[in-house]
Amino acid sequence: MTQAQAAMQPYHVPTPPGVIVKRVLTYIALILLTVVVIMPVFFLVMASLRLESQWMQYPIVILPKEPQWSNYVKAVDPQYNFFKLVGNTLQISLPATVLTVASSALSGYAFARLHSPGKRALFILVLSMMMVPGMVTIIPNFMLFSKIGLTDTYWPWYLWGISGSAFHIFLFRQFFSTISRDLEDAATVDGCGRFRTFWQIFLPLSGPVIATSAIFHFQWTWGSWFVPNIFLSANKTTLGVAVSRYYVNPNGQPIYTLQMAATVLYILPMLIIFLFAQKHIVQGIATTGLKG
Amino acid sequence: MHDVLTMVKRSGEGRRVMTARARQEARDFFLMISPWLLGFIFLSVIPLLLGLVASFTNYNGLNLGTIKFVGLDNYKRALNLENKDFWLSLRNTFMYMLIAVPVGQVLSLGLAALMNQKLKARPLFRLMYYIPSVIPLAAAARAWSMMWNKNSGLVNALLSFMRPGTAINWVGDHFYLILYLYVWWHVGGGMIIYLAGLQGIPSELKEAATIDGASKVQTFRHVTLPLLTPVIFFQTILGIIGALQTLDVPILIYGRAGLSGNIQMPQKYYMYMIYVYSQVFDFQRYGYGVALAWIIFIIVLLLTLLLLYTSRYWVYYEVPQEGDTA
Repeated sequence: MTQAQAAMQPYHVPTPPGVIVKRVLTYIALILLTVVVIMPVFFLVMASLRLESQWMQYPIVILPKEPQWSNYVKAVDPQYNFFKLVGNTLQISLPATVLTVASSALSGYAFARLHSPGKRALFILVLSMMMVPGMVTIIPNFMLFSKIGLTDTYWPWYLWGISGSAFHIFLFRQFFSTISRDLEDAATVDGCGRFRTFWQIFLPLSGPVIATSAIFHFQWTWGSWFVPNIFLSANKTTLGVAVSRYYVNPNGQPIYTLQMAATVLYILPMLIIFLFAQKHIVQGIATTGLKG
Repeated sequence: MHDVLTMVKRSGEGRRVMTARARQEARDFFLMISPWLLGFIFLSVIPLLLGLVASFTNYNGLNLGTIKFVGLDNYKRALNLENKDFWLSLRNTFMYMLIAVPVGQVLSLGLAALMNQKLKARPLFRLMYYIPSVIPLAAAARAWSMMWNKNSGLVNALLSFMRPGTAINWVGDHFYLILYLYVWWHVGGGMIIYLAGLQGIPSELKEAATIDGASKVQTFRHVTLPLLTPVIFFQTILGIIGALQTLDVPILIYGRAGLSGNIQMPQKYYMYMIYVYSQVFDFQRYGYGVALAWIIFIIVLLLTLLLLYTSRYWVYYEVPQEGDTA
């Protein structure tokens, strides 16, 4: 090919080999990273399918030849209270989520759209609460709640829910700040009170934020381990506390395969919710720039 | 703009005398935030102050009758140089933070930069990297300790292909390996935040730099990175607070937290919050425990202030736009 011919073919520019090599290397790196990231979960699932006798076998069983799906049936057997534990966890997670979202949305709306003396200072207080180490408030909270007999009940979660959460208030405030003022003015002109404006105009617009906030809080309460561990007795405790130490045989020895099966069942709802809502979650994190 | 306009309008009307409308608006404001405000007072401020008061007493959580003020004794006892548990747990926690925060930030940013390129299947990879963040920590700790178990772990099994019979006691001998779990759990969320930051950078700026002859590395170093510093700053503060509070993962891996509350884990793996936890819930030393919690609170405050103070030298702020918080 002469130089002139090459110049006449501007539309067929072959990708330089260097770029191809780089691209292939990038994909290899991404796939390796995926393997590293997913491996612990994969290993957990595989371990839940072992025979109990394979637990201490050496060399280890990575892929069980005869997967023991019956481990899952045994893990939800009534003697281990699996469904009761799920019920306990939901009794915390669901009301706490609804209350937190509702309260935070209301406060977020007020901080975004209303004017009042002291608003700025109060908002700084909201933000600064995110900086207080949990232990500093949890210990006195525990002392208070045990004095009034509310430990070993789910009331602390409901009360925390009613008071909202700094993170969620911030989330809603950011979102409500972006809504056009005209909408509100029109409602006011029509004689719509502030609570109705919030309820009938702002809330219906905030589906994605409500979803993000609800998913975050549900995830948080479902996955929390420390607070239920100190606040609740064995009878009231949550699945998260239980999977890390229940499932023992009559001699008090842990039955590992059942623990693993229950752990997988414990993760599963979170994964399903995440897969369905990942777009919202990604947006929610991205728009706030906050994540503990 | 609206804020400015209303402020101008207000100042015209005179700020000392609020109009009836403004008064009503203020009343609605306080009505709406009242659930939060009441919770803030009764579940945060009062507990904080009660805790502060308790930290000057010998309160044991049971008997208010024998309570007496001991002044600064709890603080003196904590900070006494011979209090090995305190200093060891503080040292462990700081080492953990000093590794976890930079490694976590660099990896999140690196991953975000990788994800910011035009790649096929980018949403799929992003999804994969975020999955660990939705896994409850109790479950994650389980998976982790299985992976690295000395006899039945996957890591030793894989290493055994190269050197048969590898039995490294990862969990027992290499405490800071729990950082793997920290990074694994946090990197997805960090990646998404940095990705949002990267996508918020106007492409004209990068193009201009390229036209001026800047290499990719130079563009990243002199255009992208400075514009990301506000995100880095905020993430670093939250990362430090989170890392200093590490509590559940070491207990889940090294302890056998029973319902009695007794955590039964070797003292050499104590993190600061675990020390606090054991003093309060194992030994009923409430007064001392709350004093410990206040010490870390003050450390967090000082670190945050230090970062805020230095931020003027390295954080690049754009002109604040309407609707921005700060």
